[in-house]
Amino acid sequence: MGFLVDAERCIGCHACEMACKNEYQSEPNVRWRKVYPINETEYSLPERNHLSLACNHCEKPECLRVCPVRAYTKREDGIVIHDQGRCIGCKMCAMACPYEVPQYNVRLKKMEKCNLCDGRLDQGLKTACEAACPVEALSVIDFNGFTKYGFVIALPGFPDPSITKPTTRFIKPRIGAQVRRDQ
Amino acid sequence: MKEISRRSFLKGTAATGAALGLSGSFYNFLFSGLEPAQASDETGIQKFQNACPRNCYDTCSILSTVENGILTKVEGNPQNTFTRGRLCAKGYTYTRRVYSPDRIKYPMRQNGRGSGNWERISWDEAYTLIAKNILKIKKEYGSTLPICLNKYSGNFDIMHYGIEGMLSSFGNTSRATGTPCWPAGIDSQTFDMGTIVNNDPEDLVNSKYLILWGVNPAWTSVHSMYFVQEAQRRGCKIVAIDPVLTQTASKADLYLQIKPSTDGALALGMARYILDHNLIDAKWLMNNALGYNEFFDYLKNNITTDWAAEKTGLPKNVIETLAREYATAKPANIWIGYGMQRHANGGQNVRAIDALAAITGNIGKSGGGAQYAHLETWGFNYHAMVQNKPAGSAGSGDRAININNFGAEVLAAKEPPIKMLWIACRNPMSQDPETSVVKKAFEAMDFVVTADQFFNPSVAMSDIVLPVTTIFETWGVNVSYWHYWLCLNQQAIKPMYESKNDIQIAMELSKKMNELEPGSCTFPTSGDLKDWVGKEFNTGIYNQFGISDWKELEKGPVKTKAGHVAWQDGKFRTSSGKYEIWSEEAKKFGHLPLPVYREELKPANEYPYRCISPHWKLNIHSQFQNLDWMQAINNAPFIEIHPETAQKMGIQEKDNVKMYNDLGYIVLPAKITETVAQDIVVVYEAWYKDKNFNVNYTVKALPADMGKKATGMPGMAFHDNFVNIAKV
Amino acid sequence: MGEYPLILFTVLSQLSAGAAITLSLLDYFTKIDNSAGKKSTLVVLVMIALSLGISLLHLGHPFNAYRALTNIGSSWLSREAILFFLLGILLLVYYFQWKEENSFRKSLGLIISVVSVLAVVSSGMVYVLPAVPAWNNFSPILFFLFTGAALGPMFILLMLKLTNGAFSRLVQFTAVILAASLMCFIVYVSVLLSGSGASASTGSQIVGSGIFWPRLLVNWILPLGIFAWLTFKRISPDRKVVCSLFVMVFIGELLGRYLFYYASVALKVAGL
Ligand code: SF4
Ligand code: SF4
Ligand code: SF4
Ligand code: SF4
Repeated sequence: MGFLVDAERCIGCHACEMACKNEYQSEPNVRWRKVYPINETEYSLPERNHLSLACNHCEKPECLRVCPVRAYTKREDGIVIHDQGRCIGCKMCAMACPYEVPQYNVRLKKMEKCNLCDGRLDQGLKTACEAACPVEALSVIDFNGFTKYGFVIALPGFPDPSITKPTTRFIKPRIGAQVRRDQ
Repeated sequence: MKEISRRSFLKGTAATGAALGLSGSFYNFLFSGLEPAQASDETGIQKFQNACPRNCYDTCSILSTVENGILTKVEGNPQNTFTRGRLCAKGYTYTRRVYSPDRIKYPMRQNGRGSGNWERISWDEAYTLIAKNILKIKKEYGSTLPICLNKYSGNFDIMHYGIEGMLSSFGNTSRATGTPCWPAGIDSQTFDMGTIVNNDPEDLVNSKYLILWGVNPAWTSVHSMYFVQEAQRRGCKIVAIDPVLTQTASKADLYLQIKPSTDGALALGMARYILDHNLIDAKWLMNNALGYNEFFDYLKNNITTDWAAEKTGLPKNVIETLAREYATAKPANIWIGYGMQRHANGGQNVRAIDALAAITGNIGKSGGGAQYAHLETWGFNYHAMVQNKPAGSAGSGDRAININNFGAEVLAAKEPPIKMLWIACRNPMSQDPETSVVKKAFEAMDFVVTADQFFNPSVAMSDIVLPVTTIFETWGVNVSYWHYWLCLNQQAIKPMYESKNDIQIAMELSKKMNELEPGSCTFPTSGDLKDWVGKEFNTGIYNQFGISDWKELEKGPVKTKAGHVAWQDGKFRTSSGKYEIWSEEAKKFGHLPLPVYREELKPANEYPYRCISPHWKLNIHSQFQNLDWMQAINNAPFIEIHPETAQKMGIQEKDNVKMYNDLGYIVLPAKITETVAQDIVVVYEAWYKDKNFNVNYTVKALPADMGKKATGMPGMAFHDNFVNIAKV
Repeated sequence: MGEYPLILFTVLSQLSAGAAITLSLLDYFTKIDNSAGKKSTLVVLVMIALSLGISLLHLGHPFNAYRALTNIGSSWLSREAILFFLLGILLLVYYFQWKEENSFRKSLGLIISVVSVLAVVSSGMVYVLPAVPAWNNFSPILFFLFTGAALGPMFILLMLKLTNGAFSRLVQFTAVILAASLMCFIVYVSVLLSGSGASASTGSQIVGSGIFWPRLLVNWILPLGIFAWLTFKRISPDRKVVCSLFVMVFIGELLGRYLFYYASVALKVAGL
């Protein structure tokens, strides 16, 4: 399982990110989901496009490999779970994850990250971020190892997916026509 | 201030709480008297109906979760088919707002306005101080006119009109009148159609062509964006017209970078083309409109597409294609934003756009129309607002002070002068133009009382601050000026600290005034807040929403039963009952009767750049950006500059840039982006906690052309702000 | 506190590992005075324990550090911890073997040497991370080994009274190591600078940092200059000279490690 991020629909509104905080009442600076602007020079015309990213629940999770206390496990369905109970706050995972996903909670002195709302999913609910996105740009898809038609494995600014094989998939933004006075 | 972590708060035992230094009453989260929306189960979890009362198109229906007396999360209520069970980034911070360590906790008195030297006082002391001041003023000046209220849209909950009621109940007072937001456009549509009415935004999906004209719903109405995108998926072409490549424009099929404030020229150019190519809906005009022949004469004599191209900076062929596409797609829709009417010619521009919708026969159609806003669902009793003045009150009525030139008019008021301010649901020190003048007005007062939740710049200039409740701590009822839903706001938790609802404050103040001088205040001195809500309803509302009692709203929000397509019945509310392209009413207010082009303001040599100061996505004016969850995403204002302009001025990314004019200046880091044009800079208006940033230091109190008819005062030309920039 | 515990831990533990190897090889190949050997072992042991202690300061929950031993299957941090822990135990055993001729001690010394090398290698492997392109190569291992090889022998030189021959051979060895590590560092930084993305920015962070030149100076230029001058003048260095060289190189390594942690640019989601 992994996220499908539709960058064509996404309006960079941060509702997903804030809904995640609301659900877990996380510390201000602990951001399990973050909405990143895609540099406007990446496409043929300047536009405001975004990447809404949380943990990529990678097929080859570096976090899991480097963690000395085995706080990370990968569930059958692919969700990479971080068990805060085991975490000793060595920050190895933060160094190893190419996506800056594990976040250090200075109060608990432990890492934390998106566990793909495992509790909600297990109850048959949508993840808090998917449920919040006003334009339905985020969804959780059952990922079976194949890249479906129309999905891409990276968009500009997304670090090299060959390292950890993230399960996140993207839909590219369409670049509309523009009539500008600076041309 | 001590940092209270939300999590420790939630898991708060008495011990952690005590360690955090919170007062004892704070733990008393028992539920006596609170009625949950859904029966609590044995886990102690309860759900309540709430309604977001901000000055926002979306007015979301909220379901809040309360566990053992603590608000643990908020969600969108899925019963509302417009907000679709979702909130926005701001809405999802509400728990953080309720439990913010920065909240104003008790009534406080400042020893020296602006000194920061606050001391805690009791409510009784606060009421005594305030009541004595009011009575003293009344005695000294013979009336309560020296008391001026500035209250507006910080909380649009119907009960909050009780603040106006409170002032009325002392006597005649001075009132900040008008609205900074949207008056020019309201007048335009009032001249054209008799009032503002928009189609149900859920109807956007039926459009075949949609022009988003000077509106950025991706930031200001995220829920509408779903319907815009859904229309797009069903084949509707989305065109965004905006001087700034907004987030909305980024998602459009076509973006037109128009020269600011020339929207009327574009609309008129399009109208000329539509007329020349016989794409008008003559039948609709014949049946529904007045003055179209005069309008067509005006177009033929005065308007060409070449002229429109020259004015707007858009190529002629683009204007012609746009006109053809708009006029031939049926139905075609235009959503007129508030940004484009914040100009000295904003009202005329909106009238020209309305005319475009009229001549193509798009008004009154599902999927068509000229959407602006509506007040159709606001027919409450305003029971809290309508209060009798004490018998024998001096003065012949309330005195209007222009809200859009508040500082100067407060200072200029004579006979009697203004001596006391009451500020509620507003933050003029950060949101009004000419901040330095507003500051002088505050300084000139004998007494300033502000009711608020955070120590914002207006609170900083007050003598007394009164802590007010958040929506979760009180009762209320809300409707929207955009969608057609009605939503109850239930009290979900006990008020934090010593905060009180504005009506509660009014009742208790009234009691104190009557103690000190019997008969000096007519406001009721006791009452149950829930009952106050009930008193706002009437059969008109019940019929409109198909309910028979307001308590039915405890089960969830309801939508109007009919009227989802504006003007479908063709009964316009103008004096003629028709769409008035020629408006005699406009003439009465000093405008030309036709939607003609009124010259836009242009930059002068000294100040060659136009500063546009639109809304920012993480706030609504001075609310939300101060919360730590927002700060974690962004905590720094910036100025957007086009790469060529930046190069010309030797400015690089993140360089500090001084933006200035004869009024003032601000210094901000540069963000270099092609989303703005070379002759425009963008600074998003906001209040950042502990930052001396305010774009209004440079904004003149320049009136828009319209607004006086419907709102009592002309609008504010916020976007006619000319500045220069320099690297510092 | 940032990465200071890690800077101290890695430099100290590599110094100790280098010292342990030097000591055990000297013991194997030459004759060492029992009490001096015993004392040196104790000092090295204490340094290892100290460095492990310091490394705990980096953890959010030092008291649960024992759990860090549980993922030797894939975590180099687990392996590193186990190996240094093992090294400590071996040194403790070694310490009690310092009495007359003892072939067990000599064999144990060989094992200690091997474990020391493995421990330093695993320390390096901790940082071989694809997410940090500047580290994702042989360099962390190489430079960690150089740290041990440059500091360890000098440390033992100062602890023991060696014959002139052994003394000057170790000094020469140190000089060679310093020269080699300088060359590798130059190559490394040039490769980074000629790269792109995160590597290039790491390169420019290193060179642009205020401590780049001080580090070059105390870690390499001064010590190598002194060696060259001594060789040119045919003066054989005495303990005082070695002592000051040691201090210089030690400071240089600390500065270098600071750069290692603070100049390395990880992959980032762009745009922020
Ligand atoms: S909520 Fe949806 S649209 Fe908004 S930033 Fe997140 S993914 Fe994008
Ligand atoms: S994104 Fe990072 S934290 Fe998440 S599974 Fe991949 S490597 Fe681990
Ligand atoms: S899946 Fe859940 S935990 Fe992960 S980002 Fe979304 S809301 Fe947060
Ligand atoms: S600010 Fe607007 S969109 Fe956000 S929660 Fe409130 S009403 Fe909804």
